[in-house]
Amino acid sequence: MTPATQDTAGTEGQRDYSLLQAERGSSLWRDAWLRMGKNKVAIVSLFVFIITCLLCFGFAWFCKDPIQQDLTNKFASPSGEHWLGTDAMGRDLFSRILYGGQISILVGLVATFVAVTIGVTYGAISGFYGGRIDAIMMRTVDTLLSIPFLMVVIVLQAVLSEWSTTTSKWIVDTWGWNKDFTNRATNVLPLFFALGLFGWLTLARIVRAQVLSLKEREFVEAATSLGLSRLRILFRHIIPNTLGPTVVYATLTVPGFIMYEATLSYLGLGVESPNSSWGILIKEGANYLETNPQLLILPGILFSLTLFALNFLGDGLRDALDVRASKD
Amino acid sequence: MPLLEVTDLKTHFHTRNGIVRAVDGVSFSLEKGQTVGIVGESGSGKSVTCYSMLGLVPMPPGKIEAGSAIFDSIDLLSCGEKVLRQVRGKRISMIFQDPMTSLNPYLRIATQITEPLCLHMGMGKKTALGHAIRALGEVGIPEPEKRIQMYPHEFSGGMRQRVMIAMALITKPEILIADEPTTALDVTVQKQILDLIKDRQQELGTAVIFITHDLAVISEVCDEINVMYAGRIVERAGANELFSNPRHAYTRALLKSIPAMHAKGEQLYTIPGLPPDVSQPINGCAFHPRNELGERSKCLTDKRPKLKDTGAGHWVQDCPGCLA
Repeated sequence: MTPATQDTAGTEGQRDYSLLQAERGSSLWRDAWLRMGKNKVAIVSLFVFIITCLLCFGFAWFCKDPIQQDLTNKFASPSGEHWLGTDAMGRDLFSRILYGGQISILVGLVATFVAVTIGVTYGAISGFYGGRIDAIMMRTVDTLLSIPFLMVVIVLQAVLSEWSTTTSKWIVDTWGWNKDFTNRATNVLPLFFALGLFGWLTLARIVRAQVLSLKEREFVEAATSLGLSRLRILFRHIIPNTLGPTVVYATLTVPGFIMYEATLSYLGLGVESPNSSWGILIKEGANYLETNPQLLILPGILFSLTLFALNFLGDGLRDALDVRASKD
Repeated sequence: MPLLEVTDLKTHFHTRNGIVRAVDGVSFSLEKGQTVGIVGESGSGKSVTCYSMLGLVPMPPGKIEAGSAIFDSIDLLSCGEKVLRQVRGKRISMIFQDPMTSLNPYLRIATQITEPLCLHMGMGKKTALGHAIRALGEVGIPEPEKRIQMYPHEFSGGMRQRVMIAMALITKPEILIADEPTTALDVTVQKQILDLIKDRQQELGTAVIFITHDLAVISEVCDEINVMYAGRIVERAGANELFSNPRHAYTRALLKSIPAMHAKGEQLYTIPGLPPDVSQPINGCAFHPRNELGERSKCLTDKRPKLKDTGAGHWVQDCPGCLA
C-alpha cells in the first residue's frame, strides 16, 4: 500500500464516521470496527482469511476431484494439468489442499459456534442466578475441565466413527445422497461434536466472570426499576455487553480448533483418508519428507498462513474492543 | 389517604461483619403531587430506603426485616416480584445518581427508552418510538428524532440524565424516585436538571421522592424534608420551617456546615467524628457521640428517641440532648 492510498483510506474512514454520527449514531461495535480499520495487520489478516475461505469454499468446486486416483502419475511436478502436482496416489494436490481447507475451516468455525452458544448461555445463567445454581454449574465445569480433553475426544471419536459409517450408509441407502459427500460429512461430524462439547468450558467461565460484574452495574438496576423481567434483563441487557470478550475469545479459538483437528487427524483419530483435511495432508506429506517435501510444505504454508491470520485478527479485535472500557 | 405510606421500614444487611442496619425504622408518607426530600450524609440509608420500596435491594445479603410501604393498597414490601414488576417503571419509576452508567452502553437510546412503553403499555414498536421522540423533545433534547437513534456514549452527562428522566416519566408514573439525580453533574447543569424535574412534575402531577446530600438542592425543590441519620429519620418539616427553625442537633450541625453560611476566610464548620457503625445496635440517640451543638450529656443512651410532633407538621426525634 502506498502512502497516498493510506491517506485517502484514512480520511474516508473519518468521513464515514462523522456521517454515521449524524445519521444513525455510532454503536460501540461500529467504533471498534473503525478502530480496527486502522490496524493494518488485522485488516491484511482478515483479507487472507477471506481469500482462503473463498478458495476453499468457492473455487474448490471447479477443481479436480480430490479423491480421484491416478497411479500412473504419482508425485507429478506442477503442470497445467495439476497446478501443484500430485501426491503418492496421483491425486491432485491443489484440489486436495482446498478440499482439506473446507473441512479444517469448517471444524474451526462450527466447533467455535457450538462452543460459543453453549458457553455464553451456560456462563451467563450461572453468573446471573448466582448462589447454589452457580456453585453447581461451575463445579460441573471444573469437573469437565479436569478430564483430559484429548483422551475424551479419542474415546468419543472411536465410539462415534462406527456410528458415522453406519449412518452414512443409511443416508445413502434411504435418501440416495451422493455417497462421497455423505461420507465426508459423517466422517467429520463426530469431530465437530467432540470439539464443540469440550470447547465451551473456558468460555463459560469468562462469560460468568463478566456477568458477575455486569449484573452489579447501574444500568441493570435501572432496567430492573423499569419493570423488566430478569430473563429479559439477562438476554437483552447483560449478554450483549459480554459479547466483546466473547468475540475476541472466539476468534482466537478458531485456530485452536483447526489445530486440534490437525492433531487428531495426524494421530489418525480425526478425518480419515481418502477424505482430505489439512491434518491429513500434513500426515501424508510427512511420509515423503525426504523425497517429495512439497507434499508437506505446500499444505503447511496455507495451514500456517490461516492460523497466523486468525491469531492476528483476534489480537486486532481485542485491541479494537478493549477501548470500550474508557468509552462508557 | 396518602399516595404512599411507609411505616417502620427496616432493611438490614447480613454481612460477615455482622448485621448492618442500613434502614432502621423509617416512616414517612407522600401525597399526590408532593415532593418529599430525604437528606443525610453518605451511608445514612437514604438510597436503601427507596431501593427497598422497589425491591432493588440485593437479597441476600439484604433483608427487609419489618415494615410496610402501602401504595394504592398494595404493600410493596411483601407483594412479590410479579406484582412489583407491574408497579416498577409504570407507576413508580426511578432515576439514578450517575447517568454515565445507568444506560446500557450497547443499546441505542431508542431501544432503551421504548422498552417500558412496549412492556407496560403494550405499544407496538412504531407507536412507542413516536412517543419516545416526543418525550425526548419534552426534556429538552434538540433534534430528538435524530438523537434517539444514537448510543449513550454520544451524549453528555447532562443529556444522559435528561434521557433518564424522559425514560422514567414516559409511562406517566404516579411517583418518581430521584436518587441524587444531580450529584454527578456540574453545577450549571444541576440547575437545569432540577428545573426540568420540577417542570415535568407539575405537568404530569407526579409525586417525587428526592434523595440528596446537597442541602441547597433540597431547599430548591422539596415541599417537605426528612433528615436521616444512621438509618433513622431525626427530623421532618416543611422546607422553609426546617431551614428557619431546625430543632435537632444534627440538622443544626448540617445547616451550620453549609459553606455559604460562612464569612469569607472563616474556617468551615464540620461535624466532629464519624457516622456511627451501624453494624452495632444503637440503643440510645444515634447522634450522641458527635453532638456538639446540643448538650451531649443529656442525650438518651438507654432507649431510642421517638419522633414527636412539635406542631405545624414539624417532627423531631425526642432526645433531650439534641433538641433545641
